[in-house]
Amino acid sequence: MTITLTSLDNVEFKVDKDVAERSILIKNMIDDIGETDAPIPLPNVSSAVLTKVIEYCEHHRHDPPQVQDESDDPRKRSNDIEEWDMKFMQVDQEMLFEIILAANYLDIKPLLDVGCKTVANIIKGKTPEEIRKVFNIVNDFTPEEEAQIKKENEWAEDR
Amino acid sequence: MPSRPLENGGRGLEIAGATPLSTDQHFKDALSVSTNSIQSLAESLSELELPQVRAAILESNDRCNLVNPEGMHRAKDVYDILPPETLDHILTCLDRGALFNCVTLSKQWSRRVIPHLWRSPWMSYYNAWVKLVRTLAITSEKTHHVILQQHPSEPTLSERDDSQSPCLPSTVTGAKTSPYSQFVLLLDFSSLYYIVSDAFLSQLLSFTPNLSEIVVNSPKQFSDDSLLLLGKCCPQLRKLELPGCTRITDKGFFFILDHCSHLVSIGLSNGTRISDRSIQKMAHMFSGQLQSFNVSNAALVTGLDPGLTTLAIWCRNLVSVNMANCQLVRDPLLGHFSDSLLELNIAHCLEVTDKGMVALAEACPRLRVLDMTACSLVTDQGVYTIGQSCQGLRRLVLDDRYGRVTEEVLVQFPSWGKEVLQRRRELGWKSGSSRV
Repeated sequence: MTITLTSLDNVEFKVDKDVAERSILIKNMIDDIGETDAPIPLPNVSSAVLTKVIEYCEHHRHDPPQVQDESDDPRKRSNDIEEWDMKFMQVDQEMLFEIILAANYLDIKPLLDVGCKTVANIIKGKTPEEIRKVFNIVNDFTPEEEAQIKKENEWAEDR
Repeated sequence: MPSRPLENGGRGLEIAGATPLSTDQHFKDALSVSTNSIQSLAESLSELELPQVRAAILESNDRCNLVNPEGMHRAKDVYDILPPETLDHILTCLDRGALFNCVTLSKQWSRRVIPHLWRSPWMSYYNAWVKLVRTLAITSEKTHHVILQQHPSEPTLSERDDSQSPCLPSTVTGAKTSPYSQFVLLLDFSSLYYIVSDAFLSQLLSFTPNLSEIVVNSPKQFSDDSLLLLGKCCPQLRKLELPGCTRITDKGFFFILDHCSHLVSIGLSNGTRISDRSIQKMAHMFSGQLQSFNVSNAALVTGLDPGLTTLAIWCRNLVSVNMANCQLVRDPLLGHFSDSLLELNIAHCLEVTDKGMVALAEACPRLRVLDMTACSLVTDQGVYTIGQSCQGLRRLVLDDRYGRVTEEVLVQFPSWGKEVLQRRRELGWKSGSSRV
């Protein structure tokens, strides 16, 4: 069965049901209204982003449902991004955040997870000044405050 | 994590007033390329004579360029693009070093990062712990406003419902403590035996009023004094794991039971001096809430009533119980557990027989993990009953030589295979050892 999705800019996308249902939001919609030919509007996702999201869902259409293992320490599995996902995430930063926002809105947890890990990997290994530059962060600390915060947290400094 | 609608519309490739293009495969193909080639996309669209679309794409491309240093305008802080729970998701993917680098980015970032950095401190050097305690003990007033200041849209700590807000730094010791102290939730000293002592903990624990979990394994020194301190300073404790804390006794544990009313998981294994008296008191006080309990190799704990039988009768929500190598664990005890039980370890409980297995199979049909190493009185009949009754069994650990259990019964459950059936030696334990 095919589902029609309509993006913010009114572009229609026809996708297989099992692809569309990688999104829990869409899955719940379909469960609620039953099978229908009417297009499902996604007023928060532009067609460029939706194209990417559908590409992801098509590649992962046969993945088993994610098993949430609470005991796993998230800090220990931060780098394990599949090769395909890694390539998929090689987009400019604006698109990266758009994909994360869309994954959040559409409730596609594995995609959200990969997106967040990608952002985390951008942060890793950078100095505070480099992170500020990449993420457009304005440092609003006084030099005195900044030094104090740094001193209070110096136990955590990686050495 | 609940999904939340995009709050910041108006970004990205939005094409106002564009006509539906569903049938235009050319357009779709073009969109699937990376936005790095947006320029060429726009050019290809000019052939389609869609000036609106073309303009919109070029405009969006301009906006993409804002993140580049040479952009004309300042682009948005990532903090304002992503919803807070997504920022938290990203921060949970960072190690301590990276979090440290994020703590001085800006004030709002600092407030978001500090709870992650302080949540579960773990350093292998004693010196680093000394620095941490120093911050907790004497934080400069200068930065308090940074750490405690709330986002304007969020209620301030004092406005929140008391029952939901985390404890503000308490004045257990009478001294004013730092705002950082509210963020320390987990302390795992399981491989830091050389750091833990009563003296060290007396410095640290008085500054961790919200502590939820603590693990101490075979420390160089840890007595009832530390338990008294834990009870006094950490009323929010939910998980207490003290394997190999060989000095602790009922006296210290009683104090914990009286003061930490939220406990759901307790481990007192490997040589603690906890006795049946503690088990009885705990079972009565925590009957509804206790989920996980481990007293393997605790020499003074028995399967009697009072003792582990009291635990099984009273605690109806137990999920995991480890009583390996406890004395006097007998068949009737196994029938007292409730059907909430998913994991049970009765390795080296030498008096258990097939009768106990039948009682267990009946009481706990949802059992997933069962370790019955060295239960040499259990025969094929007992294993068969478990296999028949507990369909969800994921792991069954037997002796190296299987004891009296033969291959004949095991082949009746072909689905078990290697996945379920494990010999003790394959799990990395020495055959003679009872340590679990």
